[in-house]
Amino acid sequence: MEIITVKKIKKSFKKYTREQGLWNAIKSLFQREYKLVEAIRNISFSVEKGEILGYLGPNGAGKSTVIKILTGILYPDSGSIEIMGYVPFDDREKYVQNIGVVMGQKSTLSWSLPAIDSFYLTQAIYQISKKDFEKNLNELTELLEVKEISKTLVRNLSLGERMKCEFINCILHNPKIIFLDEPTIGLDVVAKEKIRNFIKKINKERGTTVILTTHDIDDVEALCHRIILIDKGIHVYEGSLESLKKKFVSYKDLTVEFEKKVKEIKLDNCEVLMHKEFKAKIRVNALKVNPTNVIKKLIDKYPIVDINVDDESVESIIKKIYLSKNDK
Amino acid sequence: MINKYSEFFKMEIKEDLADRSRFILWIISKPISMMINILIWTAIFSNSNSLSIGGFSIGQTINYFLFQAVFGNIIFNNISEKIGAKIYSGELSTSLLKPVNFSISMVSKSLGGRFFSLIYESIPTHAIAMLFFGMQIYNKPAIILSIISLFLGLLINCFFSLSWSLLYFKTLNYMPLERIKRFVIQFISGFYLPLNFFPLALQNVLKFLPFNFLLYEPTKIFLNIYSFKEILGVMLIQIVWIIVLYGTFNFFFKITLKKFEGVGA
Ligand SMILES: Nc1ncnc2c1ncn2[C@@H]1O[C@H](COP(=O)(O)OP(=O)(O)OP(=O)(O)O)[C@@H](O)[C@H]1O
Ligand SMILES: [Mg+2]
Repeated sequence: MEIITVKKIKKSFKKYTREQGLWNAIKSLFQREYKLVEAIRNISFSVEKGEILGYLGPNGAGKSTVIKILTGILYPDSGSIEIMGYVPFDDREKYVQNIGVVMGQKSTLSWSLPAIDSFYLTQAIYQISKKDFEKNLNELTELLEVKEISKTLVRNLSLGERMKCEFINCILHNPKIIFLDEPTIGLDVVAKEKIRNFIKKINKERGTTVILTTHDIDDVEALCHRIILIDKGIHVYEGSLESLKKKFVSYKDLTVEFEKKVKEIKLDNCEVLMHKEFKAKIRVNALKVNPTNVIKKLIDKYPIVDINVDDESVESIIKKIYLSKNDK
Repeated sequence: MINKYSEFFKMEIKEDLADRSRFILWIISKPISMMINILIWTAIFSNSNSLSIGGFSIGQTINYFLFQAVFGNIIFNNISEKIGAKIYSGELSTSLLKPVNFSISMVSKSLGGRFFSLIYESIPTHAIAMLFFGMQIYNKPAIILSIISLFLGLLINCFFSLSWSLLYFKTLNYMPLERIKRFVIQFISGFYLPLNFFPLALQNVLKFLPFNFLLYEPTKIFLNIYSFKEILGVMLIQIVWIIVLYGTFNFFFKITLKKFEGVGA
């Protein structure tokens, strides 16, 4: 079932520019120069219920702008959006009752109070029944291990501790969709892992639909059923991670260990990245030859004890897509 | 429904309680400003030949300023400053994500803060003003009615501030506008001078604006100048202003949000 339908949205911003210096600051009071930036140029897509969608793109691509439009904060200049039967920016007050939003750089918790007080505010404004609230809060605090943390003043929490509380605050009312704008930014490996498992669990057990922007490919590999790549306000790829790999992988790296010293390695369509007496790293151009054939050849020609095959990393594939679009 | 907004009310009180230094500053600074006002006005009256200025006797004038010092803080709020900061930092986005009426949630917070300040700041300083500075209570119901009227004044100020803050969407630097607003409101609400000390022409203009209903009229209720019927009249006009300004805000807020650019990552 389609839960989000986005058709041909566009959004541009006025970007005010001025030269540095006091005189220019004064001048800008009277006459402001601006450029129109097209942040979103004609985007359409849809999301199925229960899906985890990864929204990726380089800095300034327009990810946060899309999230803000989907959550009803911004009006698009044109195009239409329907989410669970609501038009986000027109039915804002009713619509936001059904969604949860975490923005990595913005806090929804009151700075000078313990997080638990903000949770109670959430209970009141989303009108969560006492029973549901307590059940949910217990479950979530246990899952993220924040029992003690939620009683500390938010201003005294570390980033990771605060993020866990933000997550709880955004999910307490059992939203049907959660929007996460860079939820793992600045977190350590363990905390990232915890947040990822948390998202997975919520998605699985409650069937919550998740839209997530990130710069961390590991987030995507761990979570996303489908990804959308956006660059300069337009979508440049839409599909699963696997088909992205299939479509764009251009090389494989072989790490080889030899039994005896090998002086020279010669293979067609391959580049020797590293070669020490007993070890070598070879990059196979997968566009020109089948890597399996190269491996066969290697075994025939050289005394091999071990071979390891690594795919081109998703990161480098995505980098290539970004860069190739920029050339045009 | 009520429950939604009462939590905002409580939240603000909790936040204020977290900041105890404010209470101490208040208790120290208020007696000083009361003392200065008494000295100034005693000097002015003793150097003038008439026994009253703008119809106020020295006793009424001093009581006017004592009342402002003790209870005047009820009407002042920092709604517009908060909204300015929210627009500037992009935090307004998170406010828009809550399923509540934005203006009513902001006003509920203000009411919470001012209620807190009535209990923890005004009542103790009221005792000080009565014991050490000879503050008079002319009439017990009058003081209660004047405080109710002050809260209506607070609502007027809240919705005026909300409407004014819509200008902050259009500028990168809201502080100058905020200062202008603060100064003008203090001046024409009767905080610096009772409005009857102003030239008649100016007084006549101010009659058509909401600002004398913030402080000046409630203080006159306290000074027992009005009959009960007149008091009800004042409150009625206050309520009309609240409705007008609430409507104004909601009308322009809708338009403004369409152009909101939601700065920040
Ligand atoms: N309020 C605004 N006013 C003017 N320009 C804006 C505004 N918000 C975003 N932009 C511009 O729109 C474009 C897209 O911004 P957006 O924040 O959506 O990027 P992003 O994909 O989230 O980037 P990042 O990965 O850095 O968070 C950028 O060029 C940005 O400068
Ligand atoms: Mg962003």
